[in-house]
Amino acid sequence: MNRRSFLKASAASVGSSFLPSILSGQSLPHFAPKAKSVIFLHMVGAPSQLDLFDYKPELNKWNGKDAPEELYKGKKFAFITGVPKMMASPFKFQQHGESGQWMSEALPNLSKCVDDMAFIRTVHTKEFNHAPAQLALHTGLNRQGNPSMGSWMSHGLGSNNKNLPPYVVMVSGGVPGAGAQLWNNGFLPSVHQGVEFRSSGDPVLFLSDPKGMGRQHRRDIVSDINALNRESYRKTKDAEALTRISQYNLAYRMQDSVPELTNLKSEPEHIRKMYGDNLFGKHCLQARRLAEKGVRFIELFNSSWDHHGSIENSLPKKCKEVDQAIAGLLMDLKQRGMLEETLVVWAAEFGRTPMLQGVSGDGKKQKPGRDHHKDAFTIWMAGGGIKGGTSYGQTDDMGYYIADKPTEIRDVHATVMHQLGLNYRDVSYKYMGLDQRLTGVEEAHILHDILA
Amino acid sequence: MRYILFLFLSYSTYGAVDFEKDIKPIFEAKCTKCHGAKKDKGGLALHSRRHAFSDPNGEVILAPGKPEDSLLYRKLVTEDEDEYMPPKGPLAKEQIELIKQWISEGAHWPEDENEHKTELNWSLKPTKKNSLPKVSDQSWPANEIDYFILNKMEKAGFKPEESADPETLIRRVYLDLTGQFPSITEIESFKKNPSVNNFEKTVDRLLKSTDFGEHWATHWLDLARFAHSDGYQRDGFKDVYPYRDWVIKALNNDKTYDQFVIEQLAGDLLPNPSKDQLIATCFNRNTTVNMEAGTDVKHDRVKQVMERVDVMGTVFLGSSLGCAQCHNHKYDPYSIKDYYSFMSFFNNTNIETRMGNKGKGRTIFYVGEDLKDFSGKSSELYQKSLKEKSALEKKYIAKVSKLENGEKGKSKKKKPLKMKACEKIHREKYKKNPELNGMMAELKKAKQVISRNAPVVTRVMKEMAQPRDTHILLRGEHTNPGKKVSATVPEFLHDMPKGAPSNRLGLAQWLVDQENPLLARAVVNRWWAEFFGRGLSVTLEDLGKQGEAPTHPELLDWLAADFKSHWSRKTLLKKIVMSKTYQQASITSQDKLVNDPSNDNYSRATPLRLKGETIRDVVLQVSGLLSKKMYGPAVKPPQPTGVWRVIGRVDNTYEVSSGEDRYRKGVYTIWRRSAHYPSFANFDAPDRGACAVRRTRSNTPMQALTLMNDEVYVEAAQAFAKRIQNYSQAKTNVEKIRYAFMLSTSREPDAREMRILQDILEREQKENRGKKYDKWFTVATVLINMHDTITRR
Repeated sequence: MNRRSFLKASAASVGSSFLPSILSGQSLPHFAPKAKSVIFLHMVGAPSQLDLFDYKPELNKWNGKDAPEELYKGKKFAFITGVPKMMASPFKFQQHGESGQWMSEALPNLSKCVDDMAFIRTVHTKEFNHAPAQLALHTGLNRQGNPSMGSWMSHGLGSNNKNLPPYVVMVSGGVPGAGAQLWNNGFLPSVHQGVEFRSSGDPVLFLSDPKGMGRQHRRDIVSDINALNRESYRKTKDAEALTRISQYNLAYRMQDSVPELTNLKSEPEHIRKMYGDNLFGKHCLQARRLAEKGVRFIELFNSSWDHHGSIENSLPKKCKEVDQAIAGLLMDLKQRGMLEETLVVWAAEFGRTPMLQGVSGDGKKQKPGRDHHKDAFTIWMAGGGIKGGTSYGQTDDMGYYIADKPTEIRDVHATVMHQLGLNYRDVSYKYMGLDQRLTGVEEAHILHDILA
Repeated sequence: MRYILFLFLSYSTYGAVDFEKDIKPIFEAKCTKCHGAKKDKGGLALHSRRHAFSDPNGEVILAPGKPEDSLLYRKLVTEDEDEYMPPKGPLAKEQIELIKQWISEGAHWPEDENEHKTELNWSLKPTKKNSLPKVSDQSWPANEIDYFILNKMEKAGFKPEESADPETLIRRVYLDLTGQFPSITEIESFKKNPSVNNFEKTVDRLLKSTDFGEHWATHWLDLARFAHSDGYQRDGFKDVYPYRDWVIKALNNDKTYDQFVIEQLAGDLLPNPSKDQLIATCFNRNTTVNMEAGTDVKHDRVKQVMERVDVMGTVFLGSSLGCAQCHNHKYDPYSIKDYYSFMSFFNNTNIETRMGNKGKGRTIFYVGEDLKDFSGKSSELYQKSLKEKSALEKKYIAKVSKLENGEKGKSKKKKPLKMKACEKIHREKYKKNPELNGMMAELKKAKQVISRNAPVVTRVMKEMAQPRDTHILLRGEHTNPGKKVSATVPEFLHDMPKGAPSNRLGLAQWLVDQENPLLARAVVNRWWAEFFGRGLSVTLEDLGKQGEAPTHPELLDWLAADFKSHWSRKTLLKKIVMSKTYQQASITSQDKLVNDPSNDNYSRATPLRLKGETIRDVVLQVSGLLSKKMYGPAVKPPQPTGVWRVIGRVDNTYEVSSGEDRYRKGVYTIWRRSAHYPSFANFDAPDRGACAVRRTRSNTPMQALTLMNDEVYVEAAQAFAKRIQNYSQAKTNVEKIRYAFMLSTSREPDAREMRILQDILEREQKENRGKKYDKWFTVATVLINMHDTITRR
């Protein structure tokens, strides 16, 4: 066999490298999956559920009045001190679709998709600061060192595409507070690390050959390296040397497949238009393309949703940035018949208070915004076996406390895993004396009410 | 009803309730299915005395003499439907009365003699130096390790491998002890004389080299979660490099491990602590700090203290102590009370952040205890220049404002100008103003004096004058305090040494006490794994019941006991590398690969892919670029742009270090928790936001991309290419190839490998792809990327 043909052959003989690392002896997925991929949209900073999804007309009566004691007494907030005032939503709400779900005017495009969306109105978390809450949303725990949900899915399922990593991340705007820890593999092997597709520079770190090097040269180098590694295997019978060969082949293929994938020009104009012409829109389109190619877990981070002040102006601006893109994504997936097998999750690390915040973090007066709220917020899901046009749980009239069916973050995780055909109890990894799980040690509940 | 009551009264007149006869049967019939040995719902288990009295969530289950204070009783009689137990329906009235009476009489529950015996896990038993086991091949063992290994190997029906080739062995021991490749001269001289004696001399030399401390520091710094930033949203910088340097020096000086532990845990509490002993306490200050505006600083403080307890548990007790934060440990004997009693030792340092004063809103400021070291600098000059600088700036601003706004220097409308704005105006409008230029020059001078005399800062531990009260925190929540606890150690472990104070120093002395079975086992097991790729117990982070039992318990015991008799790290590591076990070849038979795939019997060596930092270090070494400069502030080798971009008021500029700092060893590379050095991350380096006990050794396409395309490796390949070309002792290309191959793999290429490399050279000669990526660059790149280069066999 000459070396050039070996490049091809060895890939086939060793096979895909992005394999699940979960213990063999189990067949995975555990049962027939509803969803093949997850597109997770994280609005970093936490948009106000009360101004987008969770309609609370009662707040109109309270607007500008002192909050009732039970909403602040003995409570701690990130910024609110003293006796806060209540704030009605400055946005109009309307019922949409056949299901008649309420949506705010700030999301006119997404409003058209309500019949595909299921709103979980009663998620709550323990942290009211961004970074720890983001970590909790991603890893189940409020501290560093644990694998992100995408890493867990990769650990459980591996990739459907031997040329692409199973877990891809894209960031528009500033990087989230907790940084790359949010797509870190924690104690899992680094093959499960989320790979960031970057918007400037190399789409994947170290993807491009050194400046001025020809592709044929790189190809030759890879087959040279493989040839020597094959000699190494011949002498040592060290299987790692073979894996190394397959990884160099995969790296080489990624050098072509990733730029091809990130080049959106191959999409027809009418499709590109559906998503709108901004970075987040491009990421949404990219996400669809990745899902199409079999990437398991795609996460988009979009920053600057931390509206402590002037929510009336700043929230619509942000909504404008994502409204068309997300609606475009849902509609495009649907028209391709992909929505059924692609689970789209929209989430933030927490929600925002029904009380207004009139003083900024620097102690200056400002137009009203809302503070961080951990006790009840909304996450929605669509596609991937989700029953559209539904909602789960209820908050009280003020939108402050949960009135019915509290949802833990681990319930959200368990539901996502369930849709991927994974039993959350069985996706584990032994570390620190425990069978570690994304859902932690406590029992989680799959949200059957929103499943089709 | 009356009848029942009567019955009871009469019963009690006959004497006390008998636990075995009256109570235990009720528990077994009605309770232990959910609250027993198999399941312990809500953390409660009633199958044993110890469990029942351990107050699993900080609430008293059984208060002898006081039924009303006993949660168990209250649950039996409550009228709240959601609360009462058992959930399927209340106990019979007479049963409830029996239990009430039993508690009133003192809840006497006789101790089960077997309870402790059966529950004591292997790691909690005393370490002892077992006598050496018998082996049939008496000629093989070189030291004690080999007896234990061979004994088991023979029983399993395996034979040890021959010793590795001299070149493999010398490379192995170089990499394991110093993280460096041997030079060609060293390889060749060892090949000429591969005697035990010569090997031992080499080992002694390596243990004495400063590379040793730099290499082994990485392992410790993972455990100590040492990083140069706070973590979380702000992720601001804190270059506490004196601590890293302290670790390197301690390793190189072979500071005894007991002292190593005492100084890091409680250096500040030693009598008249030296500067170094204070620096050592940074170990506990490496916790993350949340500086995000609006952070609940009290919550963050408690998180930090808990993290210190958890790290102590992991590193020094080999225990997943953190499990006992919210409830009794489900598998190991740590109770929630034990956890918070440990916490009580750590709970007496000042809070490290505070929220801004009025006018500063909810911004968080760092107020932690720092050691400011002015040695070799002048604190007076520093203070003086700081004052000068601020006075000069005032003058400068006034002057610029005057120029801008007329004589009075004040504008009615505009806000007062700030320094940066003034400098801009100066540059744009008054470039030639002599007065401004003069002030600028003076300012520059003052700044230079300041930076020359700025103190070196380390975060250190300092006990508050008045210790804090520590309470059990129910469900681990700081807002939910339960019973008060004191600084004590768990009953099932050894006692505090006589005369040890009830503070961190006492705790440290307790940890290194000869009676402690855990500390030595944990550390010896971790070091073993550095050489063999796995621990004697493979769960390095947990030697508890949920961890894996050791494959060679007697050996682990022997090593632990031996280590405790001298506490010298170098002595122990030398013992390991001098063993025949260590020196075996890694190449083995198909039989062993099939029948002992994970090498449980140590009947061969295990090839190990090098760590991310070591890969970069050795590639810089073969390329001739490596700087051997030691110590000092963190350095910034090249990394792709845009890797640092956290939000918040923190500087994201990454200015690549110049001069030799660009080529320093990985141990000196800046470690930012939100985005740690990407090439290390791709080779499994943890972000160090938490204590990391073991690094996995994955094999990924990202690693291939890193070694082929990272600027660091491309630059190294270019330098390596030059080094090969300029190698004057070689006359032919074959000799050059041989030289380069030996530099990177420490062995001679065989004929086939030589053929491949010659083919590459010929092909590249023909292709002629330009100067930058010429034939020797291609050869150098291929060699750097070879699996054998980044692996030690």
